[in-house]
Amino acid sequence: MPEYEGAEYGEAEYEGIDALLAAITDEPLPEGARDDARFMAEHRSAVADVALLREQLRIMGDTLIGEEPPPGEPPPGERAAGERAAEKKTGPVRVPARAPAPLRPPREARTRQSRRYRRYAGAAVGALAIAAGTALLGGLVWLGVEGGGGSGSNDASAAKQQDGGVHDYSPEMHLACAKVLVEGTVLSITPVGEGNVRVVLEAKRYYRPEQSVTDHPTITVTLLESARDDLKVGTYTLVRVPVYAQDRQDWETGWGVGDARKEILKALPGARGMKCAGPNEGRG
Amino acid sequence: MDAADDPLDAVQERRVRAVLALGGVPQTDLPDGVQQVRLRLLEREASGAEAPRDVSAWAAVVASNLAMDWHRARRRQERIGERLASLRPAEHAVGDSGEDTKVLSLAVAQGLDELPDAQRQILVLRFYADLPVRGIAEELGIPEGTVKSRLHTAVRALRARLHEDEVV
Repeated sequence: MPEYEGAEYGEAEYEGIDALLAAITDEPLPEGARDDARFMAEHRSAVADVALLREQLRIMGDTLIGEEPPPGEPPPGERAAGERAAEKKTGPVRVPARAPAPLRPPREARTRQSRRYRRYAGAAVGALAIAAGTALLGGLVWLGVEGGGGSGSNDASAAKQQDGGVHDYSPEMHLACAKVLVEGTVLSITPVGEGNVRVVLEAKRYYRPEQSVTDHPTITVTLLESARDDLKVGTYTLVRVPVYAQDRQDWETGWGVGDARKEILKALPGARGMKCAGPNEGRG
Repeated sequence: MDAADDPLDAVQERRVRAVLALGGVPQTDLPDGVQQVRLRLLEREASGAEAPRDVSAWAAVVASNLAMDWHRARRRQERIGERLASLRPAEHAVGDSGEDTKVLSLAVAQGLDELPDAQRQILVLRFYADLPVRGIAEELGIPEGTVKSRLHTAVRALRARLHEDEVV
């Protein structure tokens, strides 16, 4: 005698068998149930959720017992490789569904890494990414320029330095996949809700779109709220807004601008006429 | 104790640790918890009772009960959602190489923390330790219907959490 509440409104039952419970107990379904489309749809959904729950518990359990201090920088060997990768550009960021906002390393720790671009991502609160075996933080939420950002940002560049950006990274593609790539001075920053800010730049030089400063003395971009940490009125900056909303925004200030510029100039000839191959710079 | 006397092998020990941790036993108390499970197993052997048919399953149940007792004895129950959220990236060396990037949802961890103990215990036994419903009922000495009921309620509570982080 089932002691559970049974089907509530909206929960599919077939002859008193609750679809969710069947998925939970992993019992075989009664004959006729397979003909009931609604029940089967519910059952499939329940089975998927149960599988997801299993996986989450497994990951949680592994993480809770497998933690090893110390925190901090990746080991030197990996860092060197990471720096080479970072010189070009860090690798793509994946897994749109999760974001490690709470795991961002403290700001102080980040500034001294010799990356070319800092990576700032909108992050939905409440998720981490774990790259098994590589101790990386991989998953971040990429929210479109229009789409609203998260409550915080996560700079996963410490981890992404180690990521395989080296293998198929192309600076030319990175350029081609930039909707906006511009150097200039911040004239204003205005919150526009949903975790975004509208930033107006007095353009010094356009890389993308290819237009002249004379014709377009200013440009307005919508960035994630986290940009306010770095961009103040009067800050000289290099800003990149991607073609595909799910890809990463970048902004660089200070000495980083000059370094980024060098790379951009190198890649410019090769990027001429190039089309962005797709989200994640063609890696999909 | 040396390996020959240890009633738990390495894999079983690891599982016991995880079941304890998922039950909210704080990190620092895990070794103690594992030891208590070992002792229970040894006591059982010493008492002349039959060895459990499935040591792993039995150990998981003992661990899950211990976790609940831990909480009830008013020792600090660790909110695993908080613990996981506080981890630095460098600490996430998880699992075997070659696996795809796995993604952990803090929302689910928070959901787990919020479950009543009885539901949490059974959820972990069913979906982490993979015990069948009947096995859980037998080991805990409660009716199957109660097990099903608790599972049903717990999974319904967590389902929303499972999809909380998805980008719409």
